[in-house]
Amino acid sequence: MPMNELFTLLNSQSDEEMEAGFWLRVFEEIPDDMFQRFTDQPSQGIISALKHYARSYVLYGNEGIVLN
Amino acid sequence: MRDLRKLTDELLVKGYMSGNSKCIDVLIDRHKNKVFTYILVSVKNRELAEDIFQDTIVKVIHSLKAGRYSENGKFSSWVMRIGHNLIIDHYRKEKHLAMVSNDNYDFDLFNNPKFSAGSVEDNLVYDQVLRDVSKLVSLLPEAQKKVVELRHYKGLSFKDIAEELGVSINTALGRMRYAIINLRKIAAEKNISLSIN
Repeated sequence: MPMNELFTLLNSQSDEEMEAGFWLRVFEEIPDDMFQRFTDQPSQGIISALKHYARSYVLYGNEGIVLN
Repeated sequence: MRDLRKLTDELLVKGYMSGNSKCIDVLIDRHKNKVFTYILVSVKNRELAEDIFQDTIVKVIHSLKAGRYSENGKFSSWVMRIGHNLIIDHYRKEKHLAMVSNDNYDFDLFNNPKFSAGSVEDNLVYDQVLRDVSKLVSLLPEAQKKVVELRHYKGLSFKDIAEELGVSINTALGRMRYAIINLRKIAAEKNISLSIN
């Protein structure tokens, strides 16, 4: 809904919030695969920790239990 | 053995929710650059961007496991919206304002495109604000007015706007950004409230 988007942009509390909203709309339009070879990446340590955290969830029935 | 990298985001999400942890590895690898770059461009500080990125992915993991994701648009957009709200939270925490993260909600607001029907009064306020915004847009410089009309009244993408106006996408985006800044300035000068809440 473009008009709701305009209201959101106009009512942002600060210029930083407005800018973050602006960039969100820009990035949503850029195809995902354009970022595959980007040099700006999070550190490998963070990625490894996040993957380990994601794998530590084990589903038993309807419950998710963190192992560690 | 199936190459998980060939699967769509939706199938990978289903795989992870069913207990295949390798699926989340592929999802993270596939989208980490885009999400991180969005956060970095917004906050302009690498250390802060890494903190927010980390919190974003943790929230994504929790939401997936809680079944709070439904296929209602692009997966990467959903992840970036979670990151976006954490960025806003960071700015508001710095200013001691109310935050917008949706931890307190049982369902995921950011993956639901439907808006609830407003009351009669809400609709009247909305119509009034719409009229006010239209008047303000008419006061913008011509180049900026055109971009706002094409984007917010006709719903064109920035790519289509750039083609329609014969300018680059960067120029179209820049005009939109200045239009928003100018609309807020003009509204403040004329003491017009643009809030619909």
